[in-house]
Amino acid sequence: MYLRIAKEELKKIVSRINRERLAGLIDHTELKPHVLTKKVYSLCDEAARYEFASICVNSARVKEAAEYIKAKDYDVLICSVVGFPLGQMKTEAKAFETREAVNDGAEEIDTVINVGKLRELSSAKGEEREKIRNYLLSDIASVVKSADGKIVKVILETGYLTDAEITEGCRISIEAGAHFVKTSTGFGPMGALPAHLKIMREAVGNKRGVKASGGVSNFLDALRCIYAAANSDELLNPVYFRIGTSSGINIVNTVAWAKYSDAWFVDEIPCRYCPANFISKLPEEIKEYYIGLCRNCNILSNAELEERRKYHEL
Amino acid sequence: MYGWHGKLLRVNLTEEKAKIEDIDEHMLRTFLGGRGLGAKILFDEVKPETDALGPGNKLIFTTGPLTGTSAPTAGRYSITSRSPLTGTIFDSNSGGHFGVDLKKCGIDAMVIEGCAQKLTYLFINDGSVEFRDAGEIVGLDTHKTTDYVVKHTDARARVACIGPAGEKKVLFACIINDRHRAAGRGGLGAVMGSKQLKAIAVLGTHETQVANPEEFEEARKLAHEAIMKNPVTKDALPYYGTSVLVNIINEIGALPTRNYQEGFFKDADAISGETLRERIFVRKTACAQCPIGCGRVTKVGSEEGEGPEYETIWAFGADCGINDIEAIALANYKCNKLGLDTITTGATIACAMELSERGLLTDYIRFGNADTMLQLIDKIALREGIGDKLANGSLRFAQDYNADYSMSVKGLEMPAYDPRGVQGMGLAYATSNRGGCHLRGYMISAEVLGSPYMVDRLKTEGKAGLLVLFQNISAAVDSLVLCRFSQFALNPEHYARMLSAVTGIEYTDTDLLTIGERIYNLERLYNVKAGAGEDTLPKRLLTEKLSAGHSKGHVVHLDVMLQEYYTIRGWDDKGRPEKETISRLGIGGDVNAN
Repeated sequence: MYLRIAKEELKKIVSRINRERLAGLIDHTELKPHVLTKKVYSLCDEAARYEFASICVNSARVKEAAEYIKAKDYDVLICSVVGFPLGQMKTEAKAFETREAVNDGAEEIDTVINVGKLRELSSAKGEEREKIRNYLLSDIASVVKSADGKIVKVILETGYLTDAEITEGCRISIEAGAHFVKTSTGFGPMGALPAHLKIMREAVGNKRGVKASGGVSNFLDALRCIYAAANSDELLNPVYFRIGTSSGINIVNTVAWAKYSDAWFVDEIPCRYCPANFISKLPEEIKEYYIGLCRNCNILSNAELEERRKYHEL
Repeated sequence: MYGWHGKLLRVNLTEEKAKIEDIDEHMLRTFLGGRGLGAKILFDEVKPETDALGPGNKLIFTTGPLTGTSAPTAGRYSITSRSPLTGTIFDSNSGGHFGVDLKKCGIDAMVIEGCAQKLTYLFINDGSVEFRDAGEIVGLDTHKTTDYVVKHTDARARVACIGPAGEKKVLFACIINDRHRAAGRGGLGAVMGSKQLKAIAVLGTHETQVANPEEFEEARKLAHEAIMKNPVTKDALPYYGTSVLVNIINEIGALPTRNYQEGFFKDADAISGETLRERIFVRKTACAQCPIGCGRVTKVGSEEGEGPEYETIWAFGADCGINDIEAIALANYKCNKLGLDTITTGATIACAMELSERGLLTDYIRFGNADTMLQLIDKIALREGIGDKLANGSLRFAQDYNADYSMSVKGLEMPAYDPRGVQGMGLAYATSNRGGCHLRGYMISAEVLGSPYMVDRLKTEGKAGLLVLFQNISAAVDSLVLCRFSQFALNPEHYARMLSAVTGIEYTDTDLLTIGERIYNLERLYNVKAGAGEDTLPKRLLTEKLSAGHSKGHVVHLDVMLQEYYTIRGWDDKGRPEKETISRLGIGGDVNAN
């Protein structure tokens, strides 16, 4: 399950990317509950200066951001999260929040799928399964409709899902009319892991977007995400790939180093980017699922596997 | 001229004469200032065979083109000389506020020559120089010296001075400015003492002229913002100071313990940044123009001072087996007052502790004994008793006992990172032009802190290339003269943009790396001619595996990395720059000329 990325592959990505191109893929994000207005303003200033794809804020902050951007005459898009971060609110509430955000000036909507319902889908059969699937479709479609043509990204919170559930979540999102699928809220487990991003790209194909979010804090993280979900010139485009992060400035500031030396990448430490390494806060059955995958991983020695098993059991 | 003043102040102590000279513009463009300019002047004016403590050696104070501007961390200055400890070319830089006022005197460099007839201090007021009798401050510590000089010159003056250790020519005496900031390493305080120069006070009014203020403001803002967004410079350093590293480095099993016999100190938490904050922290402090503010004002009993920094905590803590943060802070205060380099002082005491425990030294000096450590610091500074031998550094001290326990490279004691747990740092120590120094190429940044990106600390692959990159950009940054910590957040493009805006000369990021490479090669040429040191590590690090911690079982694989490093550098298999390299970089000198 661990996605090994060869040094040569990352070198190829570096040859395709520069600071400006990387910045254009980043949704410059600030979603903390304690954020102040001045921080929202500085987010706008930074996005204008670094030419990020957008700023990403909570819906209550969209209006003030839009007014500030207009006053400053910036060319900055606003992305609003909706139903964030749990996704467990009513469909009507998500639709209302979406309409408000768009009216306030949001050009993009990142909504959270009902993660629990998506998980229930796995074990449901027949009519019950159809019912849940329709609920999820309708939940997302109502946001798409309320967004009135604006870009909609669906956050799956992949850290709570099995590989099959991730694939199913992607399919439902696209079927409901969403333009992007997105890994995480940043408030759940794991964040954006290459192994999950690869599954998502395979599920949505090359005509829809994938957004990596949660824990992308340096340019090497960003390159790994690009490898997993946007490994071609065509996909390396904000229409098909985004990175959601609050570390955008650090990422674009450090990417310059890659051009001076190819010493920046040596083989990864096994497990570092493996989902099975991030399971301590997961529901029991999901934890078991990842422990099972971990035991099957042929990267670790038996002794290391034993050590990991003990760690998980603790 | 923008950025630079284009002037050099030459002070001859023997003749008590001073004059202002023009500096060749090409030299400023190609060596920038600070470390680069100091190296070029020393290379041109001081023969490699010169006695480091003789009147023929020179002490060169330099600032950079960004000094005096609002560029982040641009409050530093640099001092270059031939080191009495290592015999190499040696520069040491320091923060505080002295650097800005030195440049305000209307000069980019000050070259101190000769030797005064009696202990003297200098008052440099806007470029005019007064030679003053220092008879009343013979033997005074750096704080009292600073107070005296300020009182007898101008309340606004900034002072750099030596303490008793410098007067006694302790080979690792430092120069202290602004009471607490040290140009610490390499014994430049001994060079100052050998010239009978106790202190220098500076006061000036010349501002640094900026060629393109609007562009500079934009570049400065970007750099400032990058510093405020980087996890190391926005959180870790401001909150805990450099001592945040104690637990981090110990956790990876690379905190040298008991004279590098181990890499894990079980009492690390007792001397950590977290403990420092709980026990002795008073307030934060920062150098001129610094948005990071890693400085700590601390208090133990009635004594208050700045520091200790991470390396100091290690030197008097883990390396001496001492787990008492208050004793470490007192040792730090002592060194600052006496004018001693804390790293070499602690490491030399640790060496003595090992010799004593192994029965090679009859004096009873044991690991873990804080009282003994504190007493030894005084003895070293005054060259009393065994302190007289310790005052020559650990290499000479161990050699006196025919022992191999000096943890030094080219005679300079290594600091607080055991390279068995961070392979690239081992190569950095070995190839540093000033000996066992962590700052020429701070590989910890990538190998441990993940800045600008994380590499596997236990692997040798790719380390040579990365180190050359780090060494070159560090040489350039030291020539600007900005703080090493800025490099956690800024890349060469940031520096080049600020430099271009200030000087009005277009510099690219690769221009800066080439300037750094030129400086590194010039320093190497000087060392080759001086026959100073070999690119290797203490035998212990190459043969003795670490016995505990998360680097257990490792040694440094230097041979694997070193030849690759020489190839990338364009040096021969003995570490000497090839003619093609010298020619490409436009630096004079034939390695075989002497």
